[in-house]
Amino acid sequence: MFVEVKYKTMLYSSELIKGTLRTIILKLLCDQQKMYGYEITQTVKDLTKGRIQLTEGALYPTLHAMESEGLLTTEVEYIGKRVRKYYSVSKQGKAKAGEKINEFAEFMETMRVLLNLDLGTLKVQ
Amino acid sequence: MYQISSEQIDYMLQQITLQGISDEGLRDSILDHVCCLIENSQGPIDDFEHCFQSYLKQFYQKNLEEIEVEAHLLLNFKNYYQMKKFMLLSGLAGASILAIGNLFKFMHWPGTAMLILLGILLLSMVFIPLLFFIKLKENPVGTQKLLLSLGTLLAILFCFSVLFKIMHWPYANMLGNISVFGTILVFVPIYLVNSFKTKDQQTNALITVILIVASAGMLYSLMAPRVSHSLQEIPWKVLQQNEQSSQQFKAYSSQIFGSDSSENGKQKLAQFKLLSTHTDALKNYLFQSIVKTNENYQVDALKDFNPNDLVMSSLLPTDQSQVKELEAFEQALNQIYGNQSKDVTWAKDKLFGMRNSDVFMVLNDIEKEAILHLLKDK
Repeated sequence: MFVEVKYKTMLYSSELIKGTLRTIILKLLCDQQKMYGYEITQTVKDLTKGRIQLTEGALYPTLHAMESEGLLTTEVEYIGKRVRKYYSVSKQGKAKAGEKINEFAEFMETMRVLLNLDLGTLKVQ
Repeated sequence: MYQISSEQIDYMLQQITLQGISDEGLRDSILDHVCCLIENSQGPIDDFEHCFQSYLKQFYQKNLEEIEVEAHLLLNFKNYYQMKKFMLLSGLAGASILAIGNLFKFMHWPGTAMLILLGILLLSMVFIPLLFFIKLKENPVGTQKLLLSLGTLLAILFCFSVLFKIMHWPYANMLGNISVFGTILVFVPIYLVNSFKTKDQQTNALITVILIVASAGMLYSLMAPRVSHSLQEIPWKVLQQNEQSSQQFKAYSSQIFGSDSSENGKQKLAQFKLLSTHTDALKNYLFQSIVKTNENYQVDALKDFNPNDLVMSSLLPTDQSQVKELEAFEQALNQIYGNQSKDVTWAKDKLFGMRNSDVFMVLNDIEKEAILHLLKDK
């Protein structure tokens, strides 16, 4: 029950991509400046051609936690009675994003060697 | 794009709240997300409420409240697993080290004290506080919180009372009594009242209470009560009688030696006085170290003294002035026995490590035997 990241995937099992939700959010927000929740789910869906669909039940608690940890900053926009919360990466979040992406890239490289896969060279921006 | 009305927003907000989302930020995020889903849905929407509920269902597996619970856990239980693991490890280590320490104690192996100390400290300073914090994060309400805090405090107090007891530190019994009576008189009643509110907990609660009270009862059965006053007085009374008879004997002997004016008689009187002086000096020394006074030995002054303090000998082979005093006593004996007696070295070997009350009596006995030796040809 605790901290279980839930993904709806078409191709990838949730076990396979478990633990990458924070990395995905940080990277997206680094690239897009500011985004709101729905926008994040749609962008991930589009970028992965629907192969990774973030569930709201995993996304919002994580965004909430990352905000309180100081990784994300928020600003609100009122659309009639609705409140839209835009998330952007803080200075601390930017540093964390680089750290997380490098960590994941290293992990993938290790897995490539371990499983003897030919994935080509991994490039990290 | 579907246009959502103000009333529909109110309805959705109300539904989200009713389904268990109390956090305002989370509620707004969910609302905005559902609105986006509805606005971007393909095809016409005939039944708005049905459409809203079906979209909302995507958010959870069992109920919407899951999201708030998950958010709460992510915020507060960041280190939950590590803490829980560490708590279990520290408890396991503490209990094992304590058990091994006790095995060492019964086998008389070295390192016992260190193991027992480490075991108790791990249990009382690491395991119990961690257990408290982990349980506290599970959001106990009202009385449960009180029971948790009280139980933690009493458990730590009990561990400390055992630690203080084995380290011979003061207030060990007081700590033990507070923890045991606190458990039985305060914790148990609150626990019972709290548990009896729910029917299915009653049997378990009663069993727990029986186990607590029985453990306390067995613990107190193991304890020896304080020695009664009449028993406490026995060593002192024996010592008093021994001292009285010794004084009488010395007084008679002194008269006998004093009545002999020959050279031999004078020499024996001198030997008697020297021995008596050194015996008294030793007794004074011992008395002063027990009663912590500069006054000379008076057996009556030992009457109100704690008999436990009379058990450990105050004559120590490491105290050079005591050793010198004993050597002088032995020399006085040597003069009387003419270096022939085994009793001379026996005195020194035996007196160290003997009970204080016994030392007084053994000194009297040695002195008495020596005087009898002097009186042999009288």
